[in-house]
Amino acid sequence: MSTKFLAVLAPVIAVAALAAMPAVSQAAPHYYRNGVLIPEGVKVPTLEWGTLGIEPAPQLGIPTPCANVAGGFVENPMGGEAGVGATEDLATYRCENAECPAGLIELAGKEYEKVFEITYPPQDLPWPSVLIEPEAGKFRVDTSGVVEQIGCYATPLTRAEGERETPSGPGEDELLPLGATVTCVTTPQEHEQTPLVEKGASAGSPSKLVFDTKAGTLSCAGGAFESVTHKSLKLVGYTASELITVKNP
Amino acid sequence: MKTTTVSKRLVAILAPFVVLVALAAMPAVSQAAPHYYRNGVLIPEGAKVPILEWGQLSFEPEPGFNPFWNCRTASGGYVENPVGGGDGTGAIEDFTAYGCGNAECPAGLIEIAGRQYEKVFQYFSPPQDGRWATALTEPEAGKIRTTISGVVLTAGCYATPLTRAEGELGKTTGPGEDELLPLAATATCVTTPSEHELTPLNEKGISASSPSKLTFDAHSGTFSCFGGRESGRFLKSLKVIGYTGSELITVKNP
Repeated sequence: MSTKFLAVLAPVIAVAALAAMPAVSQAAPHYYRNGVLIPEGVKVPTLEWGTLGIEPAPQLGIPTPCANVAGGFVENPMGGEAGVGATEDLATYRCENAECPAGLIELAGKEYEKVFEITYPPQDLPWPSVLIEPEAGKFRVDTSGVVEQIGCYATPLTRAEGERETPSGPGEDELLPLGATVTCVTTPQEHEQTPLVEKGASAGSPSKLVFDTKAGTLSCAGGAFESVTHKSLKLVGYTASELITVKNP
Repeated sequence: MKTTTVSKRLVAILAPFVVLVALAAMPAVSQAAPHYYRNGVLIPEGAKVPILEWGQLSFEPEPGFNPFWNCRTASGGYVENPVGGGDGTGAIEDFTAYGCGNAECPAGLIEIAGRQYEKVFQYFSPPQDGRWATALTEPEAGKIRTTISGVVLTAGCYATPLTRAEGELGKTTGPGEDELLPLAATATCVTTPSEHELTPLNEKGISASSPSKLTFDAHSGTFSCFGGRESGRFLKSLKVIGYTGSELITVKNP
């Protein structure tokens, strides 16, 4: 009787056990903080920084390096799906571009500094991300919703001051572009940013997001050309410089 | 014997000059001024060392306008010991603030013209004011502060992802119009020479995981807001590391 009872219950128990298994055991990449799986639903603030190079693809010249600092979070969603996150805001500065070399430019009798900049419209932030594993053991952060505006500007002259000769009013905080600006974006499926996650060892040697040859491209100028990103960003926990890593499961 | 006498006289005559020459040739570091160190080693004069600063800062207004707000911040810049041995200097080259909390602008949805948007409290630095100069000072012996000037911050409660152009003018966002729609008047807070400067205290760290800090304490100065009608101050602290290799950045006199 006991044996029959067990035989009847066995499949039910098995199903229940599977359902109750911690999400981590599902085959999907997840985020870890200091080697410990981040509990489901907990948003861990992160900090990313590094010098990235951008250039049109195929390569036309020397990549433009810029310093970057970004803030966001990572999270293992409820239900055990792949880790997700977002870039909430970022700053890009100190760019070096051959066609927009640092120096002074005279406009209407006054001198301004030329600066090559990449900016991010606030209405297009944050950028969501999800962990993917296109090759076994190779984890990538698939970031979508990216919108970058690239140009050579006169600083501290605003567009309002330079074009209309009026003081900058509310909503007019943009530097005067010295030529056409270019907008580069991710697009579903075709143009995504998928840097590779390289495991770090400590706060002094943190994990990295490496923009390698498989890290995708951006679509620029309405699809007229593509741009690629080079080099890498370091990644740490924002609160206490925690080591952030990725593993499956 | 005579030779010895002449030598002593010569030495006596030359001694003051030797001292002057030696003083002039002394490395700048020995001058009484605070300087920057990287991993415990004095940064060579004229070398710009890129740094990263980040931390959650609270803004405490003087009574009367927006309530206290709290945001995560991150910024990049550099520090430098100028040629000649003066006080260490630097700049914050770009700054970002996000993930803010503000009681009068709680996170949630707002309906505008039949569509729903998210409310978000934000502050930002206009790009034309985006580079802030810094300099080390030592107003009390052993208490080295970083004076930050040229700061301009605009703060407000916004609807996202609705821009001002879309929300106020009903048109597509054009070039130079990348600003979210403010849901109320925005506040502009600035530093001003002498009277309103930010002077956070440098606190020595020990490693990349326990880095140095810039602490906004009671002596860290205030912003001038609303054209001088109000004021406010930062509270809490920023962590500071070297940008390239997460180096420990410290300050010391000399």
